[in-house]
Amino acid sequence: MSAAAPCIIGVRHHSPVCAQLVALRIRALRPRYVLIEGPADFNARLDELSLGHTLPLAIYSYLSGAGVQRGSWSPFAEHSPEWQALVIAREVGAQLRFIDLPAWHDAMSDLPNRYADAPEAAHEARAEAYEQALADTLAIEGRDALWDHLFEQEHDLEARALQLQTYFEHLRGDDPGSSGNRAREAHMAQWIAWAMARNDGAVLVVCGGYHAPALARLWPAAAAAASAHEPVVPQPPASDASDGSLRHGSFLVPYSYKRLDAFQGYASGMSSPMYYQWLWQHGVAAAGLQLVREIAQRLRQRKLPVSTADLIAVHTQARALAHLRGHAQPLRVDWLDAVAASLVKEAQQVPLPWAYRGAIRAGTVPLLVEAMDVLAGDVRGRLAAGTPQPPLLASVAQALADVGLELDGERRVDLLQQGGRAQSRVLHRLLLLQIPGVARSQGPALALSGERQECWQLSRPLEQQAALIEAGAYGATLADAARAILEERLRAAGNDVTALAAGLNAAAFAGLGDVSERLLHDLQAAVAAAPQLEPLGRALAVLHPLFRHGDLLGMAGTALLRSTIEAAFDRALWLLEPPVAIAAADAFAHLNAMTALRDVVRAYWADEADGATRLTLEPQRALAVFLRKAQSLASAALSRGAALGALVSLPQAADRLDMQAFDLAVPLALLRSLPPEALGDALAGLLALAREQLAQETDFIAGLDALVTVFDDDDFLRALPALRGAFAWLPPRERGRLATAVLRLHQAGHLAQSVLTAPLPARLDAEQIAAAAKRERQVWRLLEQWGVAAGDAP
Amino acid sequence: MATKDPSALQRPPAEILYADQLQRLAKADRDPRPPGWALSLKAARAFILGDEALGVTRKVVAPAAAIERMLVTLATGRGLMLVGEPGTAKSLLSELLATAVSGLSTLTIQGGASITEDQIKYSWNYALLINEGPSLRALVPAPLYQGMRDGRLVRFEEITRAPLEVQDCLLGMLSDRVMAVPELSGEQAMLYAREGFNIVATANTRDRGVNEMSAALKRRFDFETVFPILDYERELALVQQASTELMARSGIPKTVPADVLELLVTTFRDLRASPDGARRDGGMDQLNAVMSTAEAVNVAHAVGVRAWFLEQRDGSPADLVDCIAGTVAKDDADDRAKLRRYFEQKVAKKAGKHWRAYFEARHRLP
Repeated sequence: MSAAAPCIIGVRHHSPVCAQLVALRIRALRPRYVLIEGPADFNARLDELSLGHTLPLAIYSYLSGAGVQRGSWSPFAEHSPEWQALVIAREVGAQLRFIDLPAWHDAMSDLPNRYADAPEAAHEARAEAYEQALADTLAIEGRDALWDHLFEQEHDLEARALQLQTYFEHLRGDDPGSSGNRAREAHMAQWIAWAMARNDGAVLVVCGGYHAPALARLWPAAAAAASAHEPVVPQPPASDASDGSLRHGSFLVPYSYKRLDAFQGYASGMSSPMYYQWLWQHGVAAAGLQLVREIAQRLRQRKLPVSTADLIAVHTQARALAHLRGHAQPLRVDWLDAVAASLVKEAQQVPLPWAYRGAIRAGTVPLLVEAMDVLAGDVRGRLAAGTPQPPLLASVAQALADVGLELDGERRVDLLQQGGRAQSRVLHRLLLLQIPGVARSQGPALALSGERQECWQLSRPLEQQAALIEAGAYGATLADAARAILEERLRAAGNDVTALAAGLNAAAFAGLGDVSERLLHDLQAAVAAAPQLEPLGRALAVLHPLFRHGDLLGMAGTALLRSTIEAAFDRALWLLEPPVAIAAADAFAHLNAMTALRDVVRAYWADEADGATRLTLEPQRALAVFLRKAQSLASAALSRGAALGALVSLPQAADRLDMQAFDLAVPLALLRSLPPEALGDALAGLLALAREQLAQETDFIAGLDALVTVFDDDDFLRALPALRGAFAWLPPRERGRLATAVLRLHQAGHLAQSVLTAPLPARLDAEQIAAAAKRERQVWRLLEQWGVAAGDAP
Repeated sequence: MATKDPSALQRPPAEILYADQLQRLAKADRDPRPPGWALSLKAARAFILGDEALGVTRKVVAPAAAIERMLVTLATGRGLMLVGEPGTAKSLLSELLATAVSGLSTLTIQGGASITEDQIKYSWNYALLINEGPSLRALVPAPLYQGMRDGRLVRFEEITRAPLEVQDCLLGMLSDRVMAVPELSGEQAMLYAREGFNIVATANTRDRGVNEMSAALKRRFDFETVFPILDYERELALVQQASTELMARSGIPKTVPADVLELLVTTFRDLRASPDGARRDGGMDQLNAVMSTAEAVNVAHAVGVRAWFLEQRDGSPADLVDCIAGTVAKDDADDRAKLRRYFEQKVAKKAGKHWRAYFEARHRLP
């Protein structure tokens, strides 16, 4: 016996009410076939899913080879409709099939998570319009709130089913979908047609709500072509004979609620998986109570004040909100709104986290960050013993064998040799994966450095295997997994530029120059919000040479570095302009930052002259900022000197600014305009950036000398410390030449340089000497005044 | 006696302006009302957010969830504190809330450095006081007294600008709901609040802020942050509508061109402390000046006035530069620098003829 049509249940992934509905339907219908939206290439191994794992877990599918890197997760939690379909279909003895295209298929290329909430951008606008209209009518804010309001309440499931169907039909409308979705739906329709053609029992389909209306339309057409055989699952593109390196596969990995949570920034489904797990297990009312209990507990652990009176207020508020919004029991947003209204006692800078989609924004009140973390939960899945292992283990073993490494004892690696560099890369990738038993005891701090030796301590501790299995969730090969972790790390760095630069340096060590588009975007945004100039300059000084000269490391010209450098350049100029005081401790870093900026401009012009610019930036703007900085009376002398030094050191600058050349008169004019105590700072700036242009110019030295000689004793004492600091920017040889020039100026050319450059006697510093000289002259003056001196005054 | 004809008033209060809507809502209101309330929660929400079926207009652009939280807070008897940047319609919200809850928005205490307890609680008619001694007749009730006596919502505007010790005189009223009048005796010595009494306070984050408020007082308030309008389209529409009204009132037969408004609203949104957090690229520094929607409307109006009364033409991007420089940057050197950087770094990169013209006019910045 068979029904005329399959029972197609459109679901929202990870929705408890959909899971309930699926369970109810399968138990009632006892279908012969249960078809689930999932990777069809996993069909042969469906039994692996029932080995007794601890959820959540995911099927991770990958395809990797020359130029292609694809990975896709299909995550399951206990309250996922797909998981309930798997479990209950087994219970009633139905035939199970996954019917979606394999994850490596082109149709899935932009879809890192099969069960993501918003399948495609083009559809997003349409869905948003529909949901917005619904939300406006019902006066509800946000998609999650709308979903909960419509569906996640305790009601008659049959009525819910009808509403769900209507909802999904409206959501989809007559949208044909992207070519990727069309291919997927065509494939799923073939499976449905096949199962129907078998004609030996009812067919039940569990698929995303977006696909359900399309599948109902599509399957009859496919039925004509259906044969007795299962539909052919497409095979991955035949690996090129030339390299044969295209690998693909699917395996089970443990997953975590954190990764399921939409608020953690992954493109994943429902937010707050922990809450929905409670909802699944205990119902709406109990889930709400648990939510308040756990949040209060967490806040108290974190020493955030939550009084009993506050909790009473939360309960009252939640119930009243639920009543106002027409909920029989307070739902997730009611509770969260109540928590925010009753517990937050300050003005907020960003909207409440549940009012928008995506990662929690910076500036969210800590209390709410904690609350959202509680709702995300800290549950991690665990695979049952005997589950086939992820291919990362094999890949790591292979990678080690390829470069001839054994994980035993100490290894020295020569970075300048081809083999040594390859070994170092593999080890650095393992280091990124934080695999126990791999540690670097010695080696250069920067990837682009002159040092050639690295020393590694290698071993095989017991926990190494476990760590590798866990890391297997990040990717199938060592390179993929390391890249995924690197991306995570860079993203976590936020706008901490120092951490970002460290991450990129690690990328250079590990030879991972390619990263995802999205990360590039995030990086740009993070750098664009960096609060301080000095760390940015430090990062620029590391990254820019890597970008230009890192050919050996495979980092030269990579998009990763390019976008970071462009954003850092932009932001650094922005931060440079406003006049701020520079702490003595930051002076060195500040000058280095200016130097880095100047170097970027200089390199840009050099590339431009060669007819090939690799960065998109506006050197013109840098010049304008330098000029304004040099002229800004409110800015620190150090910055002004450095800005002018940058202009002086760039021969094209004057032309591009349509100004007279920056000859020696300009820096001297700047120095002359400053009070004595600031003179040294400005000079330090000038010398740090334009040493080659200035330090050997006799006219400049003469001008400077004239400035200093007119100081009286007090002024000289004030100017001395900074002046000495400034000359420290000259290397010994140049300092010597400067000394000769000064001696000659004072008609003392016959004396040796060392008269001026010799180290001071121990336990005496220059200021003490100058102070003593001043006092001595005062004494002589007094003596002279009283007619006591014998004319021997110095 | 004030006339009830709204057209004769410069700015009629909400209860007069929307008297007909309130009447319709009250008539159609079937839901239970919290004790002392003029409307049910649902009707109050409809009054603020609009209800097409009853011909009730939407009066403010704010998330429904936020309005619901505010109403529920008021209904559960905790004080409501609206905080936010200046110009985010906090006072309008508090007026609407008071109108919806009590049908009266004029029990208002205006916070300020010179405010005293007399102006909050009650003072005396000294002629009567000397003549008859303390009596209810000689007592001059201030808004808080009236609110407690009649069971109405009392508005306390700019609460943080009032001296701390004056703020704290609210403590007893908020927790025990009773005001002692020690000068009177017997029943009159204690004024117990009737159902329906509550307080809506507003505070802006640019003044002294809420941090200095005593913890005891903070505890008695639920805080609700009012944000600038999050949605670009909605803000643009609002600026367009409001500026058109202002232009008409100034007797100018033109509106500000759409592309100039686009420049204006985008500039304001870029330079505002962004509630989008890191999501927006660019990483601009926020200005010290207030970049509220209300201020944007003023600038749009100024652009129109300037273009029309000086040269009888449409407002241009160059006018906008002048007006932004004058109204927004004011005399803050830091803001001027930020504005200049904004033009150089962001405006320069935007595509479109009007953006180009806007950029070309940057020399008009101070």
